[in-house]
Amino acid sequence: MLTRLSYPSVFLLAVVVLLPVAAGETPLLHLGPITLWEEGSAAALLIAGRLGAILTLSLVLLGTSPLLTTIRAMRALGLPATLADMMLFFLRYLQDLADQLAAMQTAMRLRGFRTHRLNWRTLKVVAALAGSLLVRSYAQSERVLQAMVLRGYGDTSRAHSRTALVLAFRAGLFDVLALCGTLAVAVGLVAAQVVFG
Amino acid sequence: MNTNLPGAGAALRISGLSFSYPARRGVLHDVGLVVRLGERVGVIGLNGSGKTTLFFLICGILKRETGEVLVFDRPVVPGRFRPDLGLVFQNPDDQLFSPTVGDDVAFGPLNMGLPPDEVTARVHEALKTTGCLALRERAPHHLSGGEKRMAAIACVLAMRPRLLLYDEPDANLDLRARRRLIQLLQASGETMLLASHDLDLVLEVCTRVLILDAGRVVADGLPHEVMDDAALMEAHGLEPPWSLRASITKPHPPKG
Repeated sequence: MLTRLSYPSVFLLAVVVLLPVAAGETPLLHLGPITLWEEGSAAALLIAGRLGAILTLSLVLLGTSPLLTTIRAMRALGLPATLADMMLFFLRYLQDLADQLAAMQTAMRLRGFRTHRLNWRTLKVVAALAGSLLVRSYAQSERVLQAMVLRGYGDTSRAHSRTALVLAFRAGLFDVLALCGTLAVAVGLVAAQVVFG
Repeated sequence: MNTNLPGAGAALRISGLSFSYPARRGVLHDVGLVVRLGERVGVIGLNGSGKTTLFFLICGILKRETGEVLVFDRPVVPGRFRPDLGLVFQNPDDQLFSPTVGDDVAFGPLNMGLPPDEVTARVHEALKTTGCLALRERAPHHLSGGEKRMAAIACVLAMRPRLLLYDEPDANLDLRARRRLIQLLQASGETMLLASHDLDLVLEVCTRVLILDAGRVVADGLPHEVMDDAALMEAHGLEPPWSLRASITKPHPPKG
């Protein structure tokens, strides 16, 4: 978790370091020529807190539940079916594309091609590689659609024909209990803040 | 050719079928073919001879230029869903697009509007037939080549098609997976067209064989007769399968 949080923390670090000394009107502390401003410090704390909470929550969410469950939950929350299907296809075929790219790069390296030599020919070859991958992806997407249509996808003559691959998430008893528990904790935290100030 | 067979009981009837791609003219020329119920027809020929194109035209993936394709006496309309007709693609990755194998196998039956119990039963049956029950919850991209192939076949079998088209189902399979595939195809009761470069597989599975060359059906008959005709095979760029060769050439011993 800490390793994964380290990359966005670089951005956060810049904000936390610069804002308190660069923004604000009320001086908090003088350290020689540097003044620490109250408003900048408060803003830096707010941004750091929010960003940290969002990132931690996202990482916990994505790390503890299968991505398909997350997509289904997003679908239940109103994500359009087309976008949900696109996310699914992205996940499904990203690995295939990465494998194809790796295979093509290996084939190029085995024939002496080195990308670290930046010249006109290198750029042309890399462009051809990208183009080839694009054409392959397009051709594969056509074949996938054909396979789907052959199994009844989007057939308007049938009432039951599906036009969405990802079905919306349906909450079970455990999900309802977990939601109630989470809400109880949230209400408790808010109440604690109100009471203790 | 067997185009004059009586129409009654024909699973597939093709007449005068021609097709060209924009960049390649004359991929298929006036193909005529009748496949009877229960026949297992091997389609062999060189790369680019038109095997996959023929299958795509039978399924209605491609729109034919001329000719007619009737499957169980009903014309094939391009783009129209025909659950009685199944195609197993050359590359199983084209066919396995759902998050899990179970979802993928259920995709066709759900589109057929079957009740949930029936869908579950069909998925179970198709996975059992192909030996993929243990793969039900697995993601397709985590499967081996042989597992993907069997899962792709299960996806089509779950719709219980009466005419099955296999486009090079043996491609990239190891020996064990190939043997499992042969056993599965031999046990299959559906009418079948099978395109392959593995002539021994065709010999083991099919009851009839066609040779396609440059978009034309140039031979049609019993597998043993057609594929044992060395002159005919050679004339169309093929060789008799190993199992039919009278004397198998032994490798030369190393010199010295």
